[in-house]
Amino acid sequence: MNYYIRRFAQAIVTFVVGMFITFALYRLVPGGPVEQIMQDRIQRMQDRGQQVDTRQVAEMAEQLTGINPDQPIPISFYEWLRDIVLYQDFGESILFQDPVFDILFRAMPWSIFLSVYGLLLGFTATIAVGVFMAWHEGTKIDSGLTVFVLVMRSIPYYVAAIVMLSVLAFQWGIFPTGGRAPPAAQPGFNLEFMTGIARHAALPIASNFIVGFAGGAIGMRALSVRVIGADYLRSARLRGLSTNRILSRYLTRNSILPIYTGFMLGIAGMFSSNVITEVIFQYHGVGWFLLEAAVNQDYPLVMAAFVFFSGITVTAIMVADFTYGLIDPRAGTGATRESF
Amino acid sequence: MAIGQQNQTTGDDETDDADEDIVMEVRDARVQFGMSRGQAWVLNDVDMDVRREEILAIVGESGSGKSMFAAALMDAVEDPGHLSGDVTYYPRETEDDGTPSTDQIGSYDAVGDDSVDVLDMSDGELQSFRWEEVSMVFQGAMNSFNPTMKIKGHFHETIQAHNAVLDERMEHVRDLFEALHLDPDRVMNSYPHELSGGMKQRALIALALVLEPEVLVMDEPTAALDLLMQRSIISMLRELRDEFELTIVFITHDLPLVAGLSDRIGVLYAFEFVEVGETRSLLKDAAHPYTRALLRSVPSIDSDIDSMQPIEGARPDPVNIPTGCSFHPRCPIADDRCEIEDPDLVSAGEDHDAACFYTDQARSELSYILDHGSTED
Repeated sequence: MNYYIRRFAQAIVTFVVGMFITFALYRLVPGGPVEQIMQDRIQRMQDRGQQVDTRQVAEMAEQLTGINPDQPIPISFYEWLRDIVLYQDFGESILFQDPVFDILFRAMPWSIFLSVYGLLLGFTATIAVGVFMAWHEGTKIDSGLTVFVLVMRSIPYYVAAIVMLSVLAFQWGIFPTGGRAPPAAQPGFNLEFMTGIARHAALPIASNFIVGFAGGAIGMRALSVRVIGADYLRSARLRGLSTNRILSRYLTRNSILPIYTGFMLGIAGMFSSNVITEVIFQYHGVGWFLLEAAVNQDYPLVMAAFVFFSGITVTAIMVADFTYGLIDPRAGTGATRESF
Repeated sequence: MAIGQQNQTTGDDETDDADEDIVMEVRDARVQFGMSRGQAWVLNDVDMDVRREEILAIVGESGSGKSMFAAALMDAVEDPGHLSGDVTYYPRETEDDGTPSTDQIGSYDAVGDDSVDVLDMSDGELQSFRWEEVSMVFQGAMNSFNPTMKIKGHFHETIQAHNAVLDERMEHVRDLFEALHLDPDRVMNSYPHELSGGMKQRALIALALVLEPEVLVMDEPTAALDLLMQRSIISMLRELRDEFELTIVFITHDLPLVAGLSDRIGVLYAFEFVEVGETRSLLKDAAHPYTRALLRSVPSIDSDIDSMQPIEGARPDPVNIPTGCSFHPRCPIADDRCEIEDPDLVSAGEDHDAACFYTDQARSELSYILDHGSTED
């Protein structure tokens, strides 16, 4: 139990340190958020021929971003973190004029929806294809699939997304061209809304699937080939176990072990690649809001989105660590072993 | 005895022998591998009879075809290899005594009459035959268990795969564990990595015996264990044989190890048997030059270091086995005849055969000293 507590504390520390670095870097970048907003306003006022009161503009920018330029970064970080922890107050979005927390909280389920399905499909395919290739090692099936997987791997997911969008959505009209749900449908448990969600999510999930798929399959194949050569597999065959049992309980189970942590980290990677996917498909999830905010100098929203992504990454690694012992009995739960 | 081509010459003794109860009969067993350099023969027309409830030791250096012989007994030669010949299994006759018929265990039906041709079986029959009639303990016990499964799981899945009654079999496993001095509760609930090498090896023996097979084939079962554990497993094997009416085929490279265990020894050289005989007679008065050289190369406390000699030369290449007697390039007494003609196994004493033309000469010219510990027990 002690191990779990320590590991949890470690995750919290990682998280806070990560946040601090992001926070500080964002402030220190030349032309940080306050300056950029100030320049923007001054430019606009000059265009309109107004008298520029730099001080007034600065005050306004400070108010918008919630940043006090005179305060040292560690102290502002502390205050920022305190507001988040105590009041769930991430500030107010400059662009959307709404509390950041509400915006992200509403967007989060959509992103999770895309990622979870993309990951589940991707991992299942990785494992199944990898094991299948290993089982048929050296045959034409194996080399054919290797070529296929490598081709899949060399297609960037955003290119695939754009191609799918233009062909399947714009030319053939099979899928909607963007958005999260049909605008006409009444949100709730009705058929129209549900199928609408599924149709809207199909293409983004398909492009996420490509991210998760191919690379792992070759690695999975290599791991499975090693397990196939193991003594316990031969012994299992001679003991008369069914092929299904050998494939699932022996082969897949043992070849997954080294790849498992990678899968967990893949969750984090999936959320970041969602930024681009969501933009391409105009899918209003966390990723879409992050990009909008970054482009429009919406400092509080950007920071909150960073919190979200760091949180996902740290949690995924921690979960991988906690559950690895369940997957591989040899790992145990002691602090004697290295984390992943 | 019990040697194919020699049946004509020694057949008379055999038929007289009423005790002769054969459980497995191997005739002309040959294993070939296609290699880029040509055909490799890793078992070369081997004949052998395994008698019921004996412990037969198969001894040979590495690469002599020992493991292939073991695999051939249950038609388990790995894929590029091709096994031909005949392997016949004779189930125990039911009216014989009070013991339950072997074919009551699980789904396997032993064809009604007595003999079963192992190499003719369908995949399904073979699947039942293995483990229910003949089972095997592999080389490398350390890796014979699935690392992500408890020991218990291995027993359960094996029993279920053969449609046997779980409770009844697990009861039997408890007996086996007791005979092997293992604590059932502790071992069953452990993962393989939590057990020592010796415990794993014994659990593996129990796993091989879970369906009460007639024949247990053990391929180098003690190779990775320390000497004390080797000795204790050897003595447990004797007890197991008596308690569960087993036939054991024990494959090893270690001749002194099996001296105190086996009833008979078969010596493999270059993928064929060069000498087969009753243990004591074979050890005390080996007839084949190879066996004698092998015995001379064994270190012993009693013998002088100078009398311990390695066997000159290298072992034959499976693609290019020497013509005539395969041992002739390394044999000190070989002559022209040995280079041309391949000797058959001929009688070299009571229940003792050797494949050599000059057994008398070998016995008189090649001396060796036996370690007292190995036979005088």
